[in-house]
Amino acid sequence: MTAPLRLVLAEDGELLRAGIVALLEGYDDVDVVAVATDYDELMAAVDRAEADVVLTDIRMPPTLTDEGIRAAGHIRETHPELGVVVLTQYADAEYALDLVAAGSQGRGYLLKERVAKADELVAVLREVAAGGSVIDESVVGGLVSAGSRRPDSALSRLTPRELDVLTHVARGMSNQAIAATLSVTDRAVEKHINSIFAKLDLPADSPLHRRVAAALVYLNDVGTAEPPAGSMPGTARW
Amino acid sequence: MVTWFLTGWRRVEPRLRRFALINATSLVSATVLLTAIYLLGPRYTEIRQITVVLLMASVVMVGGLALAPVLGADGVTFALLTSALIFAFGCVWVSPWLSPLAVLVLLVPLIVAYPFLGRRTLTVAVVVVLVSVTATAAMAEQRRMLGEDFPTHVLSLVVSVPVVVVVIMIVVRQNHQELHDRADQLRESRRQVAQVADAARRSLERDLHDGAQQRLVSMSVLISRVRQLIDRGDLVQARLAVDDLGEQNLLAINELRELARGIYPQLLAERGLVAALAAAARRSTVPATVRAEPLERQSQEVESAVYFCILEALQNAAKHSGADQVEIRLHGDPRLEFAVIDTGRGFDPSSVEQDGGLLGMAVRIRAAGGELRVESAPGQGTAVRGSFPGPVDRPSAR
Repeated sequence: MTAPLRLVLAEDGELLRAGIVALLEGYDDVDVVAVATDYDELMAAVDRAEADVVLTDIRMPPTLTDEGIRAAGHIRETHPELGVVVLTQYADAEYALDLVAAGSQGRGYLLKERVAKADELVAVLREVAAGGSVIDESVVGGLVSAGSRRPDSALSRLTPRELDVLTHVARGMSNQAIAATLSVTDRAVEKHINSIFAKLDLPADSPLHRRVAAALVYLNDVGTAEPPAGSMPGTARW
Repeated sequence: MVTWFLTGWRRVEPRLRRFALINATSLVSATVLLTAIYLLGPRYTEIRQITVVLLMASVVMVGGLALAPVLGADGVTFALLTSALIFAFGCVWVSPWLSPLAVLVLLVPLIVAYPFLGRRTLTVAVVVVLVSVTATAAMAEQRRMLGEDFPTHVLSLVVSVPVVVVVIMIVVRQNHQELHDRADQLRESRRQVAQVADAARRSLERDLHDGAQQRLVSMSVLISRVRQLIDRGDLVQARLAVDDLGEQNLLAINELRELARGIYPQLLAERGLVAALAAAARRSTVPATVRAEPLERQSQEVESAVYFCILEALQNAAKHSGADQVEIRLHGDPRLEFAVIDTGRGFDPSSVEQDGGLLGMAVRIRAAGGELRVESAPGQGTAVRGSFPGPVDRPSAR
């Protein structure tokens, strides 16, 4: 058995905080080593606790806006090895993009209700603590469906299977994990990824932690991309 | 050159523009008239002097008008002030009896222009007027002591009093009318804002009642069922029911998330219009593109009015236009303007009842200080365009 995962939990809602702690007590391989209720407490706890991973609410005192994202940015500088999973009530991709802007290594972005499935939550915490990335499927799914609705989008050049693979890449899955999910060989996944990145003009040899951000940014742009020039009337005037 | 002049000229408030034109025209025609009288009739010194005074005032006024595109409302106001000043000093110099009238004439530009001036310009103008008024009165005393020909003064009073009285009356009545109109507009828009807000609250209540609340009630029923099953020792069924509870709970969370976003999107509060609109465009059922220039944060009132108006236009386009794409445009320089343009089937704006979504949009934008236009015709697509007055530092824009 591996060493228990040392976890710092930051959540300002008392009910949810107690609930998560109780839920994680059922897991021998996770230790909640510190609990914080706002940004400053989280920073102090991170400095003190020698943790492997942080699980933090996005919205906490003092400003109740995007403390979780800012904490993750700060932790990247002070504790580069420490994984951070941000829990959010917002399915908008903007915050996820901010989170991975400086690299997606050891970063996770999950909708709050995912804590209900404790097994999956613990798996995500482990993955992120090990340097992996996990972006909530509904965030990526929203981006993909926005991009696919456009008839002129580059996504329409992908086969359905390639679109699946791209979605999994944007969610942060490794080639092996994608292969397992889709029940194909690693080699097949690699071929798909090369083909996708060529079709979308993305650098194919990106290391794993860069390609997540690249895929997310790409999907985000394609969802609201400019239509071909001249396709809308009245471009010149207001 | 001509277009440049006209564009700059049109930026000056219409009422100020009109008054400046009337003033310039009357000064110029009075000059011409007096010159003619002097040349053809009695060559009184007073007439010659007054003519010179009027000529100077005309030159200043016409010069001010010509420079209006550069100087704007402030320039026009100071041209008005200076010409009034020359006129007042000149008249009093020629005939000290006119000093009370001259004082009134000096006040007119201020009465006309004050709604259009910035704070600083207004302060300067008030000081200039007060100093001029005092100087005019002092000069009148000085001139009166020199002793003048009585009948000439009576004549000039008889001619000028009615003119000045009429001008001031017109100006005052115009201002009065304007205030009344504005008060009416405010009352009406306040009523509409209240109406629109009520409608929004009602629809929110419906959504909560039919959505999350129903679901929570059904969950409470399920919870009692679980309790029963556990009491009975039927743990397998209990487990299934709890799974069901979990799913219902996720749905309730999702519904509340959507509802919260509809009330006020967090992205709008934190990142402003462009980010919130990009997210809205992604969720739109008809492909929507945001073409926006980087934009400074606006007041919350303006941001929410613009956001919800664009959202409504986007939903209308998705529901009614049949368009296969919609474009959202937004820029903030020199003034905040936006447009939602689709290539769909269009409609005849006059045939749509003005109490539905379109009115709600217009009311919101107007309440935030802007204007909304809907341009459409069958087969022509639809453009919803909104604009807000330029960089706001004038009291009239509030």
